[in-house]
Amino acid sequence: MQISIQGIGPFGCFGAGKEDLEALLMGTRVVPPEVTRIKMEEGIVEIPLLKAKISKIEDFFSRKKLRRIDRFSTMALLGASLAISDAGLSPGELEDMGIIIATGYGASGTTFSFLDSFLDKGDKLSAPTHFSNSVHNAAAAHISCLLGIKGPSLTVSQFDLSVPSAFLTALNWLEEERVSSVLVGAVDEYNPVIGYARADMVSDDPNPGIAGEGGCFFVLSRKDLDNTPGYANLVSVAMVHPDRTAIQFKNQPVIADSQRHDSGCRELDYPCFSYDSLYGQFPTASGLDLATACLALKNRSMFNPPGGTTSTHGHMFRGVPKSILCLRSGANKLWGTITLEFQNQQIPA
Amino acid sequence: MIKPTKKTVITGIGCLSGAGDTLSENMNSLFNNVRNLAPPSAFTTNHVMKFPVFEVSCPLEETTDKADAELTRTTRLALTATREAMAQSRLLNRDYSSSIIGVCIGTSTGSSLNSIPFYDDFRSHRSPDMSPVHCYFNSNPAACIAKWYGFNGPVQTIVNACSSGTDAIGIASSWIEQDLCDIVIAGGADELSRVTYNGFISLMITDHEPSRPFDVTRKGLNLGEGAGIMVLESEEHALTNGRTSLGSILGYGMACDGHHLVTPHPKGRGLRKAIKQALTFSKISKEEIVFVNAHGTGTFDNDLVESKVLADLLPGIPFGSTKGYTGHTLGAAGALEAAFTVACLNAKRMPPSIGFREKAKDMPFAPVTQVMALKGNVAISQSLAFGGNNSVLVVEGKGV
Repeated sequence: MQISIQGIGPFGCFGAGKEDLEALLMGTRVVPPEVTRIKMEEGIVEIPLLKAKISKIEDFFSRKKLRRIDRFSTMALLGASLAISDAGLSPGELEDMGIIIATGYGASGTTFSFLDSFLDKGDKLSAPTHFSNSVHNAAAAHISCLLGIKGPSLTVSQFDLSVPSAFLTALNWLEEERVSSVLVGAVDEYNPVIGYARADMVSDDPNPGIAGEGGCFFVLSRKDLDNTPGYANLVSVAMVHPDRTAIQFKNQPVIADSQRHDSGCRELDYPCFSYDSLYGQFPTASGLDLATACLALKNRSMFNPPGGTTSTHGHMFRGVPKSILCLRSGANKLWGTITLEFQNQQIPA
Repeated sequence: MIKPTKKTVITGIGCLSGAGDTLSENMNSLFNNVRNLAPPSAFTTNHVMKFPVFEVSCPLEETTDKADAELTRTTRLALTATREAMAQSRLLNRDYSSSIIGVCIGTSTGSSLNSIPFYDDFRSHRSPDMSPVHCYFNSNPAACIAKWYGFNGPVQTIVNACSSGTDAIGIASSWIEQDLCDIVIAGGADELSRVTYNGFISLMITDHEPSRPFDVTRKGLNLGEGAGIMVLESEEHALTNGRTSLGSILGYGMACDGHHLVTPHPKGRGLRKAIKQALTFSKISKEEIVFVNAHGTGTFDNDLVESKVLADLLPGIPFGSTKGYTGHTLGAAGALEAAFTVACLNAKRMPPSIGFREKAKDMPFAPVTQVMALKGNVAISQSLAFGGNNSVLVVEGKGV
């Protein structure tokens, strides 16, 4: 069964939508990080941040509809709306669609707001709206309610492997014909606590990267039911231990996080690209790697990574990409891989 | 719907809850009307009225490697139930390299960074002890079980609120059916904490007395903690390795209401769809269902909607809730209840729905009030969740 990516909805420091992401990747839009400061006992902790711009949400929903929805879910709603619009789907086509959301941290900002409510005012005055919005699957619920999606709904959370995990189940649902299309989303938000925790985690890393936030949503459809042109075919999703199961690199470009290159993969025999210095590092930034792969396959050309070379590490790559492997590593030396393939019948430019 | 390539059988079950430290202890509580309810002992709050909970009191698995960060209680609950399940399926202390073994675990609080001491120090600008953060990053439940045993298959942690455990078993079963794995360790786990305790009290759906699912006087749920874990395996792989089947996962259905963040659709739109989908995937007729282990939280809305849907779609089929024995264990609930459902089928009896005395006028029929003999081998276990999720498993016992 062929699975096609029919729409993408990227959002982050660059803005929202494929045009904004493409401008970032082409270098026509430059987004410098802002420096956030956290006052602590040991002094001021400075954290460079590529913060998401999400004002475009007002193109889709009124402020009134969003008034009880937190920032995490608003980001997810933006990505979902962009992807559905990009796929050209009408409301009537969403009823039986599935939703799968991948998030590394969930609505952590709202969780801390909930803790504030009872730490400040006592347990009896805990804020119910913060509690209900802090639940990991609240974003999927808001999408379902506001967009009228009533198929299966799933949220997964396992840090950097959240996105491969979500795509694994999306592929499964489509292959077992549980659904004919799935909205798969990657989303993570920044807040000072996460920033402080991240700063501690990367304190010994010579290349700590820049913290970011954002994500991307995708509309996946079965090609036998929807033959309209898409960005790429979703060929395979795997979660493997590379020391136990060999990953087949078929002379294709690989998009991975920059930390992967610096942790011993430079010697691997494949041309490797990394773009997260443009949109920042966060657990589900691999969603933006996938969006980048979709645009590269559509354009039939890899984007030059930051620095202007023809690959970040490994072999040089100058040809036309026929397939792209997106790679993330997680806990327990487990790798998640997602392979996309050029689609003959491509979406019009 | 395409035909699955493999059938999923259950070769091990582990359960841990306020009703007992093993599956057999839990079933003993269910069939003897035992409920161990008390005010929380693991944390303190300044609520004037204390809301009772179901706590796990036995020793839990813990890391012995001092170089490792500590593990969250949720993950330790999951590891403890996993040990029981793996012991039953004779999988402990084996070489796992010749099989593809995945892990799929549902949780609610187990994927949240919500340490109160850490956050209180942070917001007060004091330099916080970072060990709760390291513990959080080290304790993703599915990843942790895979690392603990050195498994080599896919890993997924599901955070679908109160249906997480049901979803984890349903998705794990599809990994077997689609031949992605030979074995999957699947289920759910969740710990009690001041955060969820305050959260449910703030929503005004917690009862300060023992919960009374489906009763006219019901006022809400009691929280609990625990873990339910199953070893799922392809039938072929179990037979080849000489493992005994305790039952099967026949079908899984899932649909969201698209109605409200915390309230079920008044006509149970998503639940109806999920039940129908689960029956379709299981390829059985509803006449083969001998009982339904309902979500039955004891909250006003859930029990009303659930009883109406059951009366409409599965009329006359006995149903009950086991949450009166365990409390609502959130991400663990669906997995514990699926395990109880299989155990009931194998014991050929179902327990009374404890706490129920009188049916409300607007409820179509009442749950089971006495131990009831079962004449059949297929049942349903279902979960409704925050976010309007509805998830349904059709399970089969081991038969004669």
